[in-house]
Amino acid sequence: MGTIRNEIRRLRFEHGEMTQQQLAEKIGVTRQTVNAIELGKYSPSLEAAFRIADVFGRPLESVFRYAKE
Amino acid sequence: MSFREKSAWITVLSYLAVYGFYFRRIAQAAAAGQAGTFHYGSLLVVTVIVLVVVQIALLVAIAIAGPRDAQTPRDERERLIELKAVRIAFVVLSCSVLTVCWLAAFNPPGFYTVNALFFALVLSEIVRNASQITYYRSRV
Repeated sequence: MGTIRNEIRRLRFEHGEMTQQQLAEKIGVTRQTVNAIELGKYSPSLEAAFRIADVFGRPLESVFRYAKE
Repeated sequence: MSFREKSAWITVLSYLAVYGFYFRRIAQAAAAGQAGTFHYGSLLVVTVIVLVVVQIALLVAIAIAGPRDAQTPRDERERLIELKAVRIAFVVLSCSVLTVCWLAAFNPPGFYTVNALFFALVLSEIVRNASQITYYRSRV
């Protein structure tokens, strides 16, 4: 069983130090959900993942990666 | 803490406080041998009214403290948490009701059956909200 890791925190800071709240509003989730995604406590739906990648202008696989354990 | 997690905390704590008082009173009546004479119906009505007032007051308070959070619709994670919590609560409710049905086969006074069923309902609701809190704080 693997886990999904992400680069959201780094990308937020690279994009004008975007806050979790700002990202949450752009993708239509709560700030707490963005926090949970960053900490690996929640794996977003495919649609939410695509929205996040679209906000940062990156392909999906550069934002999320599957790590086998 | 999100508005929905705060709401879950309010439900758990208010249920424990208000219904804790009710069931303690019921247990006292049962221990005193008043099962056939105790007017638990009126006590139950008052208890429910008190609970509703307490919950509304607290929910309004947290909504005023964080209006944007309160008005935000449930997102995908919150809907998933709710579904998982309902599934857990349903198992608790089912097992509790089956237990009461089995005990009812021994023809106890209605006082015991009614309050046992109500306890099953209250317990499942506490479990539902406690499960939500657990999922909010850990991995879902």
